[in-house]
Amino acid sequence: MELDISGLEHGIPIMFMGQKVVIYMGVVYIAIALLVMLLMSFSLRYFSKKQKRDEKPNVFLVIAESLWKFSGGPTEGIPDKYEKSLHVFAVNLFILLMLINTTALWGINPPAANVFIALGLGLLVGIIIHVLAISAGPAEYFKSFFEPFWIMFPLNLVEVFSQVISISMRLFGNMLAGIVLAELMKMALANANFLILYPIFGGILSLYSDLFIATIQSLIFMTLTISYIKGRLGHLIHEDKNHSKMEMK
Amino acid sequence: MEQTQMADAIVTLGKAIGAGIAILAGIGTGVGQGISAGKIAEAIARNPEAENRIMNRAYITYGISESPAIYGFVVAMLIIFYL
Repeated sequence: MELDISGLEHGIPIMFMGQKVVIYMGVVYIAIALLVMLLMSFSLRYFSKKQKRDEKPNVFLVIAESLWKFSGGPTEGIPDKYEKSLHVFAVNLFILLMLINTTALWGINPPAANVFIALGLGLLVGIIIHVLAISAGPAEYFKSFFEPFWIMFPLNLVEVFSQVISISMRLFGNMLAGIVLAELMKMALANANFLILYPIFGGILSLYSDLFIATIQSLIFMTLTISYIKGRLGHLIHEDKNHSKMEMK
Repeated sequence: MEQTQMADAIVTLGKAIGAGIAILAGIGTGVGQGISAGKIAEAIARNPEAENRIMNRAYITYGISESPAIYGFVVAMLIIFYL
């Protein structure tokens, strides 16, 4: 029984530096998602600025404010220097992942079902975390590896890799499970001779796996990323204890 | 020819047993999430106003704590198709 579920589907072969390199279709879909995000951000900003103060809020203004407030939950305890840029990063990461994971609604296998693409996303986020932590204080960063006792150094080192791998394999496993379940459903309904069952059962399965699981997994990816960053920037948080966080909201 | 058939059969047997054992990783997550669901019901019954906050936290927690079962599934897929 040979299921073509690997996600390593077609690619565009190009010649790069004398070698034949295949660009997977998943990468092309990510590029399309990035273009859609660019369009979205320009239109959101333009139409939000055109909002007059005494009129009913625009649809674009409402969307922008809801996205901002929604990802304000994970980014609460971040020191002031990085707060705004990390908030922006969280919103963008969440929207990108949402656009990527829900492509199954349009009949395209999600790019994260390809293990290399999922690992690439995890590596990107891992590099961002560590570069940010080093630029915020190299001494504290290297000291944090020996934190509770000096013997914990190997375990703290392994934690670096385990964060990256766990965060990417979670996304990969969920998306792969969606594809496998869809293939199983196709095989099960192929012997049924009732075409009406495809939209009913396939639709329910698609609703669960392409809307619910996609949203939850992209939310978890974003939340865990910000949580890891907060863990590495922990030494800055203690300095901000003098600032009062009681503002009138 | 019979020997290669026998060898292929043994390989398939090994793959099947391995994939079956790998899926047993779902036991822990089932039990754990079930206990957590009970606590959630208790907490909501105690304080019905906090339902939104509790459910938001519940979704995130379930997504994270489902990872070991998903790692088991990924291992089973790798064993069946790429070993």
